[in-house]
Amino acid sequence: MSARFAVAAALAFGVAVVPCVRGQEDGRIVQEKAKAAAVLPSAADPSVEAARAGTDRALAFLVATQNQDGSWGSHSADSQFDAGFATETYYCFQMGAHCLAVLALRRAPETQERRAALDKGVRWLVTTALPMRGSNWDNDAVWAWLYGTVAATELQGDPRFQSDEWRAPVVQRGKEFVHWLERNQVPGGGFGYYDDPTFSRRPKWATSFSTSAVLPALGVAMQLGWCSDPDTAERASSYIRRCRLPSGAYEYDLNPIPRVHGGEEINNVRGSLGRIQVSNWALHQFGDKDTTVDRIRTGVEQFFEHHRFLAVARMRPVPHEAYYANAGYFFYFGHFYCSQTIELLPEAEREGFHVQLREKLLLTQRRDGSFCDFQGTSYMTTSSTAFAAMALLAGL
Amino acid sequence: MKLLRSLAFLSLFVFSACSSTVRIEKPVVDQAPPPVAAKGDTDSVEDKVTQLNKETRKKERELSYASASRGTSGLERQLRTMTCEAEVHSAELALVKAQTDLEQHLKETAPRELEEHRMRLDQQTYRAEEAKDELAELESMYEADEFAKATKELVIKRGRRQMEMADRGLAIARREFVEFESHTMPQQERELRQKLADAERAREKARLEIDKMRLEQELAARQEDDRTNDLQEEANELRQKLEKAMREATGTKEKAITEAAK
Repeated sequence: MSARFAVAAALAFGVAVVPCVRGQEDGRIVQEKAKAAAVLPSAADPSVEAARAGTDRALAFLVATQNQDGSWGSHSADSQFDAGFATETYYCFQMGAHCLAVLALRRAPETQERRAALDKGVRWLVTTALPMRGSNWDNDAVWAWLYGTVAATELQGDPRFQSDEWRAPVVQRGKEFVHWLERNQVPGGGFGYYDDPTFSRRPKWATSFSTSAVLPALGVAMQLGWCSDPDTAERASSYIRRCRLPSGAYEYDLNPIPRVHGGEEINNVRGSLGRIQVSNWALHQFGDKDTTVDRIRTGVEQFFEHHRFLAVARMRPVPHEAYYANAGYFFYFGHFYCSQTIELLPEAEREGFHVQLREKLLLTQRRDGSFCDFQGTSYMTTSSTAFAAMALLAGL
Repeated sequence: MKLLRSLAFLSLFVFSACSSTVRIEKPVVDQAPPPVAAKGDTDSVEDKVTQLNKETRKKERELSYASASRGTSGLERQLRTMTCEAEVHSAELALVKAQTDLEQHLKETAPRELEEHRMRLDQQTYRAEEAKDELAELESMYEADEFAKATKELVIKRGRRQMEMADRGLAIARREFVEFESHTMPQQERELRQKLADAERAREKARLEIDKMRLEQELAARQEDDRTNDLQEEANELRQKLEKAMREATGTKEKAITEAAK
């Protein structure tokens, strides 16, 4: 199962094979830099000003690359590396990335151009067809439903979208996302994007990180009355808690009895750097008492201590091919949720971690302002850029 | 003409007398008997010389062939010796290999293979236990609420089948282990011991072959020597008889010439 989900998760938010430009390094170079970190100066300026400039360039990229209809990217496979999924899945990827771009623009300081792009993006989000499960095994529509729920719960509380023109469509679309999530919540309580034989309408396999990505939003949805089952969010929370390992890492997916074989495997802390952040953030936001500030701090420290294992994986075209089964698309996902966990720490501690995060993010920004960590497809470039912009915004 | 023939015969006689001590004689030149001065006694003496000359030549040929044959036999004996010695060497190597194979089997291969099979059996045992534990854990986890009962049943059914397969696999693994321990391994040891016994017999046989070969070669060499010596003696005797007959023929002839001159 892990091999297969490996392929899938990657595709939700990734990169492309693009020429190396100033400020961007491939995994090999990053690895070499990591080895020589003690003596080589950083190529990136980690100051607030540099982060603000980087964020502006990233947001400008999103504004500039928005389609006429308000969407971002393509609903078709942009790369041969991506072939093999259900036809519907590429539309699911597009919508997942689209939701992240909307979230980035919504969280950013408003400008005329950004506001216009945000309005167009929200309009497309609430009017476009809802993505559906693509095949018996491929249920990547979950990614669209997950980040659709996150986007809708944020938009419904945004003062800019409270008019009659926006409120009803946003709420309606939000309820639809939650409805489909509830129908696809696995018996254990999590959310996943594949299913195993015997294939069933309600899938049976989930992951910790996809469940964590939506848990706080589900809590909001619950309060808004969008959920039909009052236990949906609690079950999801329970699923994530059961994925937690004594090391602080989170299992990729929940096993009744965790299988930790030792050595270089994905459930080692070094293979769990992004999952630690998103899961700690989600559980803490959901009110889990075990996810203390100390636990969150330890997770952030682990992120920077072992960051080279994420860095070396970035832009590798084969899912999970790097050490500890890290995949390229773990990179910006992990950095974004790290920025969110940093914000959960006492204020005095935050800037020290944000400086480190900014440095690592700005080091990978492309000349055109975009970011990418996997395969270079339009949806991966959109999602990477949105994640990076939101991560930088969190520290400003 | 008759005078010329007599001189030739005389010269042959002188040559034969001088070379009688040589072991391998040159065959007597095939020449006509000496001229006879008078019919009667002279004819019978010449006939005797001719006959003896013929027999002598025949015996000397036999002696020559026997001598050549001794050379060939020597080479054959050398070749057979080499063959028999090589067979003994091969048999000794095969014996060492059979001994090593058996020792390796008893000291290393058999214990390791038995441990490997025991490990596989243990793995199968643990797998069956884990399948049972996981199913129990899954059922316990799903008991918490009534959510997704139909889908849960699919997962539980899958877990039950995994446990069933693990149990059946364990039953097979147990039978395989017993078969390996009580049948396959003893059979392997018996076969190796049989190979060792065969190799010991093969080496003993090769050694007996070489002893037999040496006795046979010694006997054959003695027989050839005796045969050559016998031929040598017979040839010498014939030469002496020929010499004597020729002397008699010469005397008869001189006597006839003298009487004719009177």
